[in-house]
Amino acid sequence: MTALTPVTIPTLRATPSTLRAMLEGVPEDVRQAAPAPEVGAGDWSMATVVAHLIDGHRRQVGRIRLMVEQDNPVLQNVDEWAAMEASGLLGAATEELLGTFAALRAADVPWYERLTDEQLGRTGMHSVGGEVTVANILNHAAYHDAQHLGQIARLIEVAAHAGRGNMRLVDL
Amino acid sequence: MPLPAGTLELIAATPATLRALLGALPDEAIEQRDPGGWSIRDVVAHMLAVEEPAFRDRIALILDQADPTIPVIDEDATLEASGYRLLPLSWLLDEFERRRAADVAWFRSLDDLERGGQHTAVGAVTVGNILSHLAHHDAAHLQQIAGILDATANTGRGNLLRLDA
Repeated sequence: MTALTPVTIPTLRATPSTLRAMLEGVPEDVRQAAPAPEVGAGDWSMATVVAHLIDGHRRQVGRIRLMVEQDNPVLQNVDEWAAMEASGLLGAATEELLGTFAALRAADVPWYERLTDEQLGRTGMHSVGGEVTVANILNHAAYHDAQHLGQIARLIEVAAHAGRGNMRLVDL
Repeated sequence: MPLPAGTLELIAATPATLRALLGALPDEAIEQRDPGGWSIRDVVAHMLAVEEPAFRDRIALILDQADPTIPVIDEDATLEASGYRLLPLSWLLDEFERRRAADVAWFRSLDDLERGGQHTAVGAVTVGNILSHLAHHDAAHLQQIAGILDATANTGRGNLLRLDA
């Protein structure tokens, strides 16, 4: 498949500014705090999610460059948590992470937009998924962004829940 | 109970979040529907439609009367009556931004967040509870929008779908 979905480029472009708007009002101690296990929101803090998006972006760009420059290269699956620990991003201030992510996307999304149909259809061999195209990777990146935007919205929801009193028992 | 730190800032930020995420989406993406039948446009229309009856008007009622009765809101009827589902997303984003800015300015001026009323479905609620619920409601619908986006992007992942297995 060589086609990008209608949300792929808009989402990849919008995610840094969306994250900045979502997190602007959240105190830094809340951004850095892992949620309590009982709330069912995973064990990543908001800052960890942003760090993961940076790490994932770097990996996506590297894979696409490899596929554009080589014929059907092997794309090795990675342990995401081990990769993030090795990245040195864990524990960084959220503002720093947001700035890094925005700069990376600002540099790379214009290149994504210039990829030709031939380049979008170039392939690599993912060690778990099998044959994938550049378009698959970009669509996956947008999917991944949206998943983690939802995760951060969930963490914000958890933070707000504490003050709802009896309103927690009703939709509106 | 005091408001959780950052509640009003979260409420204030939602229009900018929606504009950043949705402002450049093509029409075909805005009309994609989730399993519940809601499109992205419907979600924003809903958020705008309930802004006054579920939040601003209820707080005004509590400030105006002693322990007033707060009726349940029929979300679907409120949305249909608003006519907002038929309007362009750009208009909805502009209007939501305008109303939320005015509401937040007023919310920031409130000094008795413990004042309350009786919600017909759940009993005693305070102004602070309603503000926290607004932040929670915004976040819930941001999750819904993210879900529609990820479902659309998911259709183009090819063999990378196998990574979920």
